Amino acid sequence: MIGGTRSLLGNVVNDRTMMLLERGLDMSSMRHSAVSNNIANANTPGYKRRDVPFETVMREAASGGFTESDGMRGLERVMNVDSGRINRNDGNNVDIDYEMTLLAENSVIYNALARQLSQKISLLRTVITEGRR
Amino acid sequence: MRLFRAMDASASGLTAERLRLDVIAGNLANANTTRTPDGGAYVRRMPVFESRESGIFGPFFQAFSSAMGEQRGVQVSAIVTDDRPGKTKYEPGHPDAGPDGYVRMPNVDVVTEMVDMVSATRGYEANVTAINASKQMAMRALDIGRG
Repeated sequence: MIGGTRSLLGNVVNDRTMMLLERGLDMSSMRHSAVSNNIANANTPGYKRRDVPFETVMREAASGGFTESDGMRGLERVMNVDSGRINRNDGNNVDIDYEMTLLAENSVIYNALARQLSQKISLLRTVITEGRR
Repeated sequence: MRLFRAMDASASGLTAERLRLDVIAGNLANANTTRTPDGGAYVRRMPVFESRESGIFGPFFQAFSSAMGEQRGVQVSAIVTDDRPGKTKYEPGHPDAGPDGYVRMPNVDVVTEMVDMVSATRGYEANVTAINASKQMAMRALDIGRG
């Protein structure tokens, strides 16, 4: 049954965990990009920091807020300008210590997600190859 | 790939901070220069940092693309001169002294330059850290599915 095979393969490769991990990696790399930009512009007068609300978007993704077809385009609209933080005299609101902490935190999250995805794939590989013995 | 774009932004940060350091070094070297090709004392220079948005022209499109997250780091848009008057020093024997015996000194304040120098160095280091994080994340992404 062709339909059955396709849905089985679809379940193996596109299951919920995999989708969430992918989304998490996308979000995390996007946040990294935003934070890197903030650091590069730490001395630019008038610059306002950008950020990605990682937790909010992931919660939305977990409850099915994003669909596959949204892809990266869907993610791009979540990058926002943060003007709430206190401005320095030159109108810049980048706090370098905060950005560095965010950078460290975010790369830990990215590495954790990448490792999880790796584990998931090696689990699949085990399932595929164990039958040979 | 997004991580490479992040690296690109950090690299632009490195370039900008290094240029800032160069300008500061020039100011410090000329803190006592009373003679320049343009005539008069040395005038303090300072770099103008500008965030580098996407290449699309027009304020609307620029605001739009920056809201979409299309930023590509920082650039030095100009090196301008600081036109505040410098100090004068009473030194009648000096070859550059005016008829009243006062020498016009550069408007370079060494303390300000030193503080800016520390700020530029720290900014440079922060960008290096960001590049290392990008690199390490990219390497981790390469390991996905290896076993």
